[in-house]
Amino acid sequence: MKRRSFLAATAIAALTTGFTPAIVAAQDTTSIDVAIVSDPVTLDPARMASFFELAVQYNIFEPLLHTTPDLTIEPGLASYEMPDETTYVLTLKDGLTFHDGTALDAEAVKANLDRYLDPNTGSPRGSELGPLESIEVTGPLEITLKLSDPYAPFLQVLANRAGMIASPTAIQELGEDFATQAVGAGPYKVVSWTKNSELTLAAFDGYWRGKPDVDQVIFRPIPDETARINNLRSGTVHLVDGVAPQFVPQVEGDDSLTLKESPGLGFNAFSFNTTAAPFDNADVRRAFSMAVDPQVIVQAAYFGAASPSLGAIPPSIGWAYDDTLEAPRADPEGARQMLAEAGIDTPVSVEITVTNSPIYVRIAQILQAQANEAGFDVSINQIDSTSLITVLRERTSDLTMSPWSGRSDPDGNMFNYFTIDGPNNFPGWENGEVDRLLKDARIETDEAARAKLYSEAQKIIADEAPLLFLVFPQTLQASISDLDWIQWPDGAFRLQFAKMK
Amino acid sequence: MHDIRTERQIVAQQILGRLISLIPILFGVSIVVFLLVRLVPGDPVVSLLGMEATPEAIAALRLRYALDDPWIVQYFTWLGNLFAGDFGRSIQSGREVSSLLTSALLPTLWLSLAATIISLAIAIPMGVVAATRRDTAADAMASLLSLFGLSMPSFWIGVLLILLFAIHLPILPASGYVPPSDDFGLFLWHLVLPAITLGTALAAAIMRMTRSTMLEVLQTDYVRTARAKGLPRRKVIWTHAFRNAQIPIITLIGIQFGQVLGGVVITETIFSWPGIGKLTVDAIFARDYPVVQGAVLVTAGLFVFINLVTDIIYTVVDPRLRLS
Repeated sequence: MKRRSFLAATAIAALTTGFTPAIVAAQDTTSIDVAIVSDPVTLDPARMASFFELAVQYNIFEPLLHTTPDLTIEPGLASYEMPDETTYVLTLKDGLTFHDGTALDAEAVKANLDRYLDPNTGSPRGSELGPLESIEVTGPLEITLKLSDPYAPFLQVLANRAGMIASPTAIQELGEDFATQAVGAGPYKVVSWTKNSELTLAAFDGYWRGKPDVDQVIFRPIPDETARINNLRSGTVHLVDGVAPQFVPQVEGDDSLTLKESPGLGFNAFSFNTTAAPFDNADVRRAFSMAVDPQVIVQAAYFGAASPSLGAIPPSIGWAYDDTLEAPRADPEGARQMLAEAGIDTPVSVEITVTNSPIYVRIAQILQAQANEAGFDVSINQIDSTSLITVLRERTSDLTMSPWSGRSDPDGNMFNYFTIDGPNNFPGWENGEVDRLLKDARIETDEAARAKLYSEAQKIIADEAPLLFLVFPQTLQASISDLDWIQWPDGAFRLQFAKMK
Repeated sequence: MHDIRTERQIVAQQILGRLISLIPILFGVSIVVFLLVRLVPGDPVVSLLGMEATPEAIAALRLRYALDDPWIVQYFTWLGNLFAGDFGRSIQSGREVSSLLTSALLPTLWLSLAATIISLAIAIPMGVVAATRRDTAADAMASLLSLFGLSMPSFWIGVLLILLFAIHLPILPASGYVPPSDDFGLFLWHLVLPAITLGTALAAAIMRMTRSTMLEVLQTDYVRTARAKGLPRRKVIWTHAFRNAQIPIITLIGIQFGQVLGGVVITETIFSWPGIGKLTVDAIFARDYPVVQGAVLVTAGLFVFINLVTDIIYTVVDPRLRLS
């Protein structure tokens, strides 16, 4: 209510002076409005499965460990020790509480991890926690986690959704309503959430890093990319997720706005269906990939806000990124020749499936034009995003978009896609060597050795082309210049680090 | 005295009859929407889990939401709960469908009402002027404006209005919704742009209808008689002619209002207005069965209700219809 009446006052001020104050600040309280692409589906970390919770999740829930913007692991709620390769001992900070006052102790952590692993929860966290075998409370603030095998990405996993700890009291008492009234130990607590309208958070006094500088945060879903930017320019919102690349010049040209861009964690690729003609033949896949010029996609679909990719590990994961990968591209003549040498009759009919969002339709049209030049006959099939998963899993199309938001550990971009039984092996590609390399990379704990394993796997993947890699999209976000905040490559907002200048 | 009683009874009977006819209609709608959402390819659980769906997680959640039960069992469970006033819970968000619907219906109702009022305020005077000054510059202007209104898509008008009134002349908010109970002034402030956007499109059709029915009525004998009697022009137009032109206009407004309820999704999206249109479309994309079912059922019920209100207004406007 206080905010409302203050807004009313600014509204009247705006009406009379024709000037909208950029920020709402009254009696030393600061409040910012954040435009996000879509309303979160759920606030229960056990249920989060979409992109759309990313923007809000770290503000409500604090993971056990913390990732810095350059993806280094630091202690968060807990510090960690590794007595051996399969044992992790977490020690919680003393005196931690959740938003509802419940103590955040070893029992609470165990209750959360147990819940993630419980098959009845049906949580995607179960598979993220990988070979986690036992969770033991070894002290009031100490938890010992034992794995069945070494699992290199484990620390990154504990710094992500699977490490988020929610109040066990609230989970119990709220039941189904926990998904909308989430209670965590993050910098902000949930005040109210009106579907498709606003999610209001208030700074949490008991946050372990200290109460955040910005007292109130209101997340507002604004799905239309033009509307998001317009809202920022008009001062209705102060921070915007998902800036569409075509607006970059506009935002950069405005002194009152700040644009932040960083290489993202994900990739944009298309899955070949390697289980049926024509793409069961690696030469046909190579030819298609050879015909495509990712640079055109970077320019025409991303307006420069992306970089061409030949593999799944982006430059943001510096230690594992391989800039020596090679695969022939932008050569329709060579592609035509390759098809001829392989004895393939042209034109080769190919169906590309994309969701009906403008950028993907544009990409599909570029692919169509380029591949047709090399002797393919491409048709484009547009579907809605829910059907996409089904098309990918049932492999009902020849070439289907399969973008990935990315993970801070390369395992998250590789294992599920390229191991034979990987849940995201949409191409249905079976390569024993890559399967072994990726499994080895999971249990190898030495970073340099892991990087080498990933490089070897990526070389085979680039040659065999089960996926058509196109680009690594950048994370683009913008704010009013008066707001000081830090961008993470995953695009998730962590507003405990934000303050007004 | 006696006459009025019978009239009232007839009206009451008509209302009662309409209310009873709601039951089979809603029953039919419930079957159709239940089947339709399930016939659309896609699965609510797969949609919920997205790229992270593992077969085990899918199985666990399908069991939890009883999606593996035969459809007939699912239908009657849902129907039985409906009778107990329970719309179920959203599969996606875990929210109660009834609370999702109430929180989405009100914004849409306000927006539709405001848009209708704006459209009437523009369309009726314009239509009447165009008809009474047929073939003049005013008529041509009105026709041109309505053509403009009909052909401009609302997403375009909406964006244009935002650019003008929220960015260049920053006097109105670019988006958002404030419930009237929180702050009525702010509520109105946020309502202006979306209501104008939606109202412009509605006004065009109502203006055309007003013009053509007025033209018709103005040529009837009784209007000529009224003119011949020497009644003031204003009185002839508004008291004699316009009264009789109202029925088709009211019909059109009734139909449009019903369509607006289901069709505001574009305006709602541009202005981030948390209405029923956006709720329904999102739920369809997510295959969130309970939400789609509840939203369609309530929208259908409202549509029938609006038709009923339209019919009652007829009898108020035109006493002849009370006896038919």
